[in-house]
Amino acid sequence: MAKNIYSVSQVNSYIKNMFAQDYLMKNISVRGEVSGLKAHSSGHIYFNLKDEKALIPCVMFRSHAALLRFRMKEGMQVVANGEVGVYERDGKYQLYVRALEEEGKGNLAEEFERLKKRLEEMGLFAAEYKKPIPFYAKTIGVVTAPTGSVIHDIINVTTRRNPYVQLILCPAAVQGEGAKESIVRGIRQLEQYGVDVIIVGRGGGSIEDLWAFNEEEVAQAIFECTIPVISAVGHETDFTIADFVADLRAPTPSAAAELAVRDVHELEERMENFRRKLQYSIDAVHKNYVYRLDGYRNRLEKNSPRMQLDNMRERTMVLEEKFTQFLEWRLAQERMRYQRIWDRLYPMPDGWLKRQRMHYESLRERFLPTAGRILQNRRQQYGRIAERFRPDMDKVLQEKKTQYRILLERMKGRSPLERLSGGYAYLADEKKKAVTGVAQVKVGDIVHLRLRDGRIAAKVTEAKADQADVDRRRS
Amino acid sequence: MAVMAEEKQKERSLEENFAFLEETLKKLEDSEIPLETAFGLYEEGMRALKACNDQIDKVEKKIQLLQENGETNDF
Repeated sequence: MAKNIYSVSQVNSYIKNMFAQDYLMKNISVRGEVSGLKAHSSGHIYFNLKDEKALIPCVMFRSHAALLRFRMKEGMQVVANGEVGVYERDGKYQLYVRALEEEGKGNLAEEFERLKKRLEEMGLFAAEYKKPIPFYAKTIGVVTAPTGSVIHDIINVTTRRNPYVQLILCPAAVQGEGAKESIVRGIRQLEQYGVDVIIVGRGGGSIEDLWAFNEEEVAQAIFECTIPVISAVGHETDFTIADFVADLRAPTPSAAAELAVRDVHELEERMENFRRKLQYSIDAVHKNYVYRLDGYRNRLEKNSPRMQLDNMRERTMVLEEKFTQFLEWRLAQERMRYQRIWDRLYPMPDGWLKRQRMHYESLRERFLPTAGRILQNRRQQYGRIAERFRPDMDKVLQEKKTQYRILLERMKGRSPLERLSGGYAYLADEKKKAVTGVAQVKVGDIVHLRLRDGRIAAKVTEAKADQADVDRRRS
Repeated sequence: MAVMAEEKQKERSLEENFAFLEETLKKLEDSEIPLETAFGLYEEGMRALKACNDQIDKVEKKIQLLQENGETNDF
């Protein structure tokens, strides 16, 4: 007896773990014949795979079973791919099938290449058969599943770009059994209905998911369709046979909608642009003609006799104005010159000068005859006096000479300064000229007084002539 | 002549109308063209624009579901 005892669960768990750790078990393809097939209501499929000698239980869960492209039948030779694992509850191991292919069909990639090559050789992909996508499709047919993101993406893009476009949806199974027939039927129905362009597509998935679009029947239907077909299968990196045959391949369903549906806002903008340019151009043409017309009219008017007359009149007026301006200018100049002379002459009391001259003339005329008479009188007087005094003249002269000599003797040694004693002063103005009358000085003048013993400089505060003197001068 | 032009225009697709407008503008932009020709081009351009508008047919559409029997109903 072994010393360790384990529970059933422990043993099964241990074995499950051993299987799980085996690399080969994780991903294994098994060839065999289908037997004991049971499709459960849950969607899981239970069956056995067997050959002549052995049998392995298999289970294909719903998520994988849904992707089957064919209906499994008893006795069918298949290749199942999946993982061998342990079902702990029953203590049995089984094959958890992920994918199943009918034996003889080969693997999908090879099949894809083979079909692609064949169809290419048949010319189904040839560029010359590609139909152009219409510039403005009014009705767009869509072959895809009626639910899911694909149809919604297409609807969204379409309504955003152009709500005036008619979408016709032809619901189709896009994977699993019957998908290819469904797609082919959709294309034909839409063609019969008459749309401008058809979008055929589905969302992303595995190569098995997309397989319907690699079927020859679908390729043929697309090729034969007289209406342009845009394919939109899977993601950008997925390529299917349908993509090669289609008139245009869109990387995604949204992109297909963008290719099929022209942006109406852009079109409207272009139309508005055309409208504006048309208006602008016709305006420009019109303006150009108006301009030319104006030119002709101007030239015509310029050469009319009336215009020539007007021109001459205008020239005359201009000359006249120029002449007037010149005259005014000269006049102003003369006036200025006169003003300058006047300004220089003004300080001279013109009238006074004249009056003085006249006064002088009249004095001369008055005095000239009188002077002659006076002179004669004086001469006669002198003659008479001379006759009277002649005899004593020499005596008188001798006396005077003597007197003079005496006076001279007396004055000798006496400086004129001696005479300044006794309160007398000699008065001179600033220029050292003797002041002999009041008229010679003004109030404020500086005068110099020479006294016996020095000099005084004094300011005149008053200069007033004696009344008698003034009276005498006036007369 | 005018009738023929109109008929021709009716046949034009939206794309052709756009091309026609482009061409018309090119001719119109030469301001030396005779006035009468210019007015003619302008008129034709305006007519093409109207045709474009008609072709867009601005009525919002409901999505239709195509039945197996060929009939359609709203999606």
